[in-house]
Amino acid sequence: MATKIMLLGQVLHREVLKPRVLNVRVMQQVFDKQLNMFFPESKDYKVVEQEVKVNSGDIVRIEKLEEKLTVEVEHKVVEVVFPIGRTVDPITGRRCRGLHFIDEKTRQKESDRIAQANVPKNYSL
Amino acid sequence: MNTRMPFMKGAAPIRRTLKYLEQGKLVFKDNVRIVTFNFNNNHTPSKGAEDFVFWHFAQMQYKNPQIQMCVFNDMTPSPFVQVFFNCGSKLVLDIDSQDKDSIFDVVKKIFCKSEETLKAEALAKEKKSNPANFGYMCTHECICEIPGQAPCTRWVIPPKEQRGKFKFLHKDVEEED
Repeated sequence: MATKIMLLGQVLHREVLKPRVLNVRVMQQVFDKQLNMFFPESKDYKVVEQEVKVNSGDIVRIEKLEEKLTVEVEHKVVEVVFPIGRTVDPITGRRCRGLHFIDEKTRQKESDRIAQANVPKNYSL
Repeated sequence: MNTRMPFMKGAAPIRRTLKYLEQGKLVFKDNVRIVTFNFNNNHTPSKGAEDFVFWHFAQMQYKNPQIQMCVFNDMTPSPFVQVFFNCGSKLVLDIDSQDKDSIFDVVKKIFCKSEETLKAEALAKEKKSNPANFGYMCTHECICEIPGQAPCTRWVIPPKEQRGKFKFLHKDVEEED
């Protein structure tokens, strides 16, 4: 298989007048020869969103396109690794938030309660 | 003022010596593209992962400059290593409550090139680059190729004084006209 250039980065925002073009920030470790240390440096790429839909803040994997789409866009989003707000622990498969798993039962109960709440029709909230 | 080792500052500055970086044993296989380390701070089950990243991250990145290595903190409750391959697939390695030496062994066994492969690669590299080496896959096959050396004995019969038969075995060698 041909060598694919893949990177992992975080989606920052969409281009204002080009809704399918995203700004993705990739952290690369740059070696300082004086100190023999690696320092993280960010590099922003303009990435096109084709089959995979993303939100801003997602951590995505991007791949280099075989042919440049425009002068600036050379990569496309291939996979969403950690969607924002919906992080899934790959080992257990459960949703999590920081250091805790999300309690699905309580959440389901709460959403049921909200759905069944008796709200009068002209209640603006 | 100590000017002999001016940069030996910070936690474990040996990690920042070239000798330490060159001694990195984790050279990832050719189809690995991205390696991600997820662990948590002040979290007992991810202590081993934290130590592993502390000691070996610089070594790994130094030996694998083409691979993107990321560290994520406090994203999920369990620590893991996620590796993305060239074909698009990925593998997740659970390193919950393991110490850094066992993580090192597991990562080396699954994702990295073995010692034999590394030795063979180093040998092949040296063979190709060093013009002093002669033989298969080297710059020259035989010293008879070099101008100024004795010609190839396949084409030119050497004088009897240079033949081992005469010199060492003291056999009678007929002089051919």
